[in-house]
Amino acid sequence: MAPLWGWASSRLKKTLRARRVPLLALCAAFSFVIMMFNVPIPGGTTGHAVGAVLVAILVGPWAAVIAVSLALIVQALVFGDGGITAIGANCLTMAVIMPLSGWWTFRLLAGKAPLGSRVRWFAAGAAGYVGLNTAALVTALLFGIQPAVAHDAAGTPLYCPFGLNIAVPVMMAEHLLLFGFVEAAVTGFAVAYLDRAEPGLYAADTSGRAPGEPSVRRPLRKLWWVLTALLLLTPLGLFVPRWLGAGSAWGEWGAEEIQELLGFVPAGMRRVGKFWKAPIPDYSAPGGGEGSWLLQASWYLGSAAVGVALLLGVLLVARWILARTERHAEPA
Amino acid sequence: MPNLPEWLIKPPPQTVFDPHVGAPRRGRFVRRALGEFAGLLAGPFMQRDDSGRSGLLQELDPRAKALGLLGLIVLTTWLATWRALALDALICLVLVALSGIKLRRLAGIWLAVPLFSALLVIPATLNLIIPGEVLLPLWHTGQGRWGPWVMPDAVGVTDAGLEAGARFVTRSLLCVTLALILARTTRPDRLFRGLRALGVPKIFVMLLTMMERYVVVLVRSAEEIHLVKLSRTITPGSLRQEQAWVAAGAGSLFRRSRSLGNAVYLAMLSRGFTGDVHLLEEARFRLADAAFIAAAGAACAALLAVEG
Repeated sequence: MAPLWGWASSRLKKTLRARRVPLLALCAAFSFVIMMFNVPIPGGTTGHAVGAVLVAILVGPWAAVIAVSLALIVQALVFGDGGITAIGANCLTMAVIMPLSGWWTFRLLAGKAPLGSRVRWFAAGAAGYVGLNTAALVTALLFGIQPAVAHDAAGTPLYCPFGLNIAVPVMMAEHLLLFGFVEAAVTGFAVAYLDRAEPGLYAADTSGRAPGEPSVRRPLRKLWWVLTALLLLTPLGLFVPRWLGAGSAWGEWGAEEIQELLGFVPAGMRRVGKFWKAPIPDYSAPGGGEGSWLLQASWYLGSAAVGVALLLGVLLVARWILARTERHAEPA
Repeated sequence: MPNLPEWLIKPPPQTVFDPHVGAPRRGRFVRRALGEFAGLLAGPFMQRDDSGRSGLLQELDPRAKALGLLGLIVLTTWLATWRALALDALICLVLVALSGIKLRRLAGIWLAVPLFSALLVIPATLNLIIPGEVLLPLWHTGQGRWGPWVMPDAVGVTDAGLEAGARFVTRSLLCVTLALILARTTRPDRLFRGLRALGVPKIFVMLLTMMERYVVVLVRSAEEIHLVKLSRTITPGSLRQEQAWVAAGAGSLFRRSRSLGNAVYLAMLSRGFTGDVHLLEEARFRLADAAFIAAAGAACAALLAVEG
């Protein structure tokens, strides 16, 4: 985390005027307090939102990194919440990954939508959902790799005992199905309220832009670079398991692998398996030919590009529909 | 009989708020939040009696405490043998005695932390997660298969699972105790200044100190926002309306934070703030501070020796 805090500080120093110092401290206090707000959730119980994406939308991503980090550090140091030795991991997920991924999602979806438009509210809600789930996924990965990297001579885990096969599904199920929507509701409704109550609020002091004029291109260009880098890295998923002698990912077995593992294919799986044939099975050329590694890597890259394009397409189509219905709803 | 309107004759709906029987389920989040705010205002930020009590640890320089206790916390997370954990527990007890912290404050934590950690780790004691010799068989799975999952013949608690679980709970308890000793014997502003000894930049320490000061102000604002809601609620709204209210409350709090930030900046300017960060310097290290660091170092060395 130290290099990331250093990077965030240097980004802030470029624009950090003396005026921003108390504002940043107040933003950190604000982050701390909104984590204590109880949000009603279905079933009559309550949950808490992290609010990191909201802070990023309001004060900019790098200021949010510092503000949410400070809130988490105070929670750990003064209240013992979260643990002192877990400060680094907590800050990485909740104070870096969550605000940055949420902020990029917001910028991508909100574009140049006018203040007060439903597109911005939708974008803020989607950003809260994406930000929280990205952070949850990284947390699950951090939990899940612990039994593999920290165990005693007998193989008994020294820290988190749950591997990736348990940590990822459990964490993601609750965040994708429940807590993600809580975060989305708080982020979306808060932006809707502030758009109406104080439109001049988004002064984006970190960038020096004029109020209400979000600069979309520069951060998005970076997002495209990151996405391209991730796409180029996808063939690693093809080769690394082979080098390490690993089988398929846990729970992602096909009928043939189940046959090998169990000696039979459960009747339900055999029946359901007939209904869906993947357009690009196993991310490889149709027909399942092995081919050269270059061909396989190309298919992997192509599959990743198709997946990313589909996901972005769904979000952008939803945004377009909202913008269109809003235009039609406007009085003539 | 007077001609009363129909709405007055009809019995009230079940969801009507009655302060004597508690809020309806959907409206409880306001009371819960108020309880948490009250807990925070009564907690470490405001109640500093432990840090003000006379005790050996209270009189130490915060830099010495931060170095010594954070070193012990980091080492505790690394301990795996029971002998080393027992020695660590003994060190914790000595530190508690030296700090003069009221034991009833620690008792709640000593009950809550093992309970919470145990709940988290209970599934890991089964041979589904950590294989080992089954000490307590819970149920037999018959053919040893459950859908696509290969199951052991008998699912039960294993010796290795129990040991890993107990180690996890003990280590959590020790770490939390050490963290509480640090927090309870040092005022937050001094604790943050003590972080300078660990190389934390001045600007971060200044932000932490300012934040600690204004958290209390913002919590009071949040308390007011919730009290206003509570005092004006007869029947709670739909889930969406209530969520929108919480979000608007957060938005409103941000507006207050921003205006307060601007006011604080003007107050700082009027007192000669030029943008340079100056912190109140701690007094020089005394012999007792150096002795504490040496003792903490010796404790760490002893723990490492016992751990092997």
